[in-house]
Amino acid sequence: MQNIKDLSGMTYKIIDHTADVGLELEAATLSGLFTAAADGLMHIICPRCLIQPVQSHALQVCGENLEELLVNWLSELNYLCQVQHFLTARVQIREIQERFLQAEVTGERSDPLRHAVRSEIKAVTYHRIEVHQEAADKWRGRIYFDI
Amino acid sequence: MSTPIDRITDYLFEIPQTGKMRVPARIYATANMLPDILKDRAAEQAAQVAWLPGIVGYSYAMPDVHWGYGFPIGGVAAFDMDKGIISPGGVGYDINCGVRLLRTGLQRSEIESRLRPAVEALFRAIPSGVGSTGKLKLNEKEEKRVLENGALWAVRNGYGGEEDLDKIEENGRMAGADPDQISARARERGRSQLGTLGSGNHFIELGVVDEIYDPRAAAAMGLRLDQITLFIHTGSRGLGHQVCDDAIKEMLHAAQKYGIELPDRQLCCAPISSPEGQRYLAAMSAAVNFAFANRQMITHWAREALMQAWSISPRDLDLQVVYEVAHNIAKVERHTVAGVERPLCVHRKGATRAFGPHHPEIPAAYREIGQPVLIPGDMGRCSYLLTGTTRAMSDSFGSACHGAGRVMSRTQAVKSARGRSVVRELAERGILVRAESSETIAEEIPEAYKNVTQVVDAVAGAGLACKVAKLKPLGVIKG
Repeated sequence: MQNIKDLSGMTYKIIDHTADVGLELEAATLSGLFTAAADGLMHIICPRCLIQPVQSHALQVCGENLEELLVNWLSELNYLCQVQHFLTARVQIREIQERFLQAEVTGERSDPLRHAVRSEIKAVTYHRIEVHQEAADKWRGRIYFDI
Repeated sequence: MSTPIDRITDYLFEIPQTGKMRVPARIYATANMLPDILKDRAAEQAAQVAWLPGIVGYSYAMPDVHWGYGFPIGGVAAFDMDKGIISPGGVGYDINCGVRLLRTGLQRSEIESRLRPAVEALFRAIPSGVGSTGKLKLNEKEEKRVLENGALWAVRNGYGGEEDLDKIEENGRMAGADPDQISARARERGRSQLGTLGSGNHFIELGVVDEIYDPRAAAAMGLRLDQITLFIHTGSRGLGHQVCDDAIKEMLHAAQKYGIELPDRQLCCAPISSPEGQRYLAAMSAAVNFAFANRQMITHWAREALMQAWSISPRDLDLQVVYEVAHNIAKVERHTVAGVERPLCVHRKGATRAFGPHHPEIPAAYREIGQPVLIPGDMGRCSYLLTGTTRAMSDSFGSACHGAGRVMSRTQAVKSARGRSVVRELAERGILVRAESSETIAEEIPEAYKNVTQVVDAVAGAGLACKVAKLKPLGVIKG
């Protein structure tokens, strides 16, 4: 299990699944948790060190609850990658509530000569999904992808 | 959760009906295979499928079962048309992922020394790999025609001939498809991906008939020992993934609306007769057609590539469809339950239709032997061709397994391949492998899968299908 932690305490762990792959998430804030999820997703798709922050997209995502919001958020990033061939280098969440988030994603168009895109994510699933606040400064989450 | 399991026969085990299960769950396997199956949550998932309203008989798991999302991969469940549900999770994200087997007019000895150019030609001719896009970009109107007509669209547009259609499940065109039930985003994902293999476990494989168990059935399928064959394994690509994704969102709300209790959100569903259920059925059928067209186009390019690589005429190549089956699909079929024939909505997720002899939906050429059942194994060992049985009709809604089934996660497989040259190892065994990505080859190493021979023997032992022939890989193209 890979454990990747950045300086702000946001982490994602890649979790093994017989057919697919998932993420265990931990962060001090909800926005940190959603950022860690985006980082984890992009880690699975393509090594982020190879992606340059060339252009930005503003995204607005809605959901009926936090779980749906997380699925829709990651599905949007996956859509950008699958259809627009846009690889995300970093995300900045401007605003997040239980049913809404607004973010700026920065990255560049996929270039087979420079980017080692290694996985095609079919979908972000609700399988064993979790998003919950464990303490005042601790959020946890779990999500699986179909690859 | 530890799941209680009772032995019914040497090839069949049962999880008794407890708690909110409406019927028991049944697992086809041998005692030797059971520990691997119970290692992950596949058995628990088969039991959870039994919670769903209107389930008929049993929730089944085939010997290649493994942990999926909601439904296990290798699961079969049939639902009553009035009281039952339809679930996108019971079909899976890759709608109509399936396998086509073709035979050539060539013997192994004729091409053995010219295998590499053929593998290279197939690799060049058929777009593969992560995010692969096709050679043609459809406009909206043309894409709609693909979704309505499936493989028939491909044939009408010059990809293969009418004779190909006879040997495809549903003749390559699922009725009831409504492209208007497919979201703009799903159509957008599909538009540039028609005629592409994709990545993961999808492949094209040149093989050889290595052993024949049932000479009469093999002869009916035009197969003989040492004959060169071609397998194509792919599905509905991004379009199907998005159709499933969209439907799951809608079904999560529908399940609440209709008061359906779900042990796992990925089992979300709606009554078959509800507007949500009917919308999904129409959208899924359109995605099914996209996959039928996809495999037909790949077949056409494979014909061109092989003729060119071997400098032979269409008549000498004689690449003909033996059969094509879907293994991620939900269909309304007629089955006899407790002596009464009735329509049921049969979900097969990682399971193959295996209709017995004389069934009207089998091509006339195979009516006496039963429907061909195609079971690809991993890229290093072998694959099998079987036929469906009368026993499958009465015991498992005319269904059998679909492949070997993974035992290793992709991460474990990559770790196990580290420091090895999997391509060289396979070449030493006489198998050429060509892939867009070396990571895919590592993820797909043979030992990442169960031994398909054990899976097939369990299915044959249970009487769900009869072994016809064993095929061995010679050249494999991976995404």
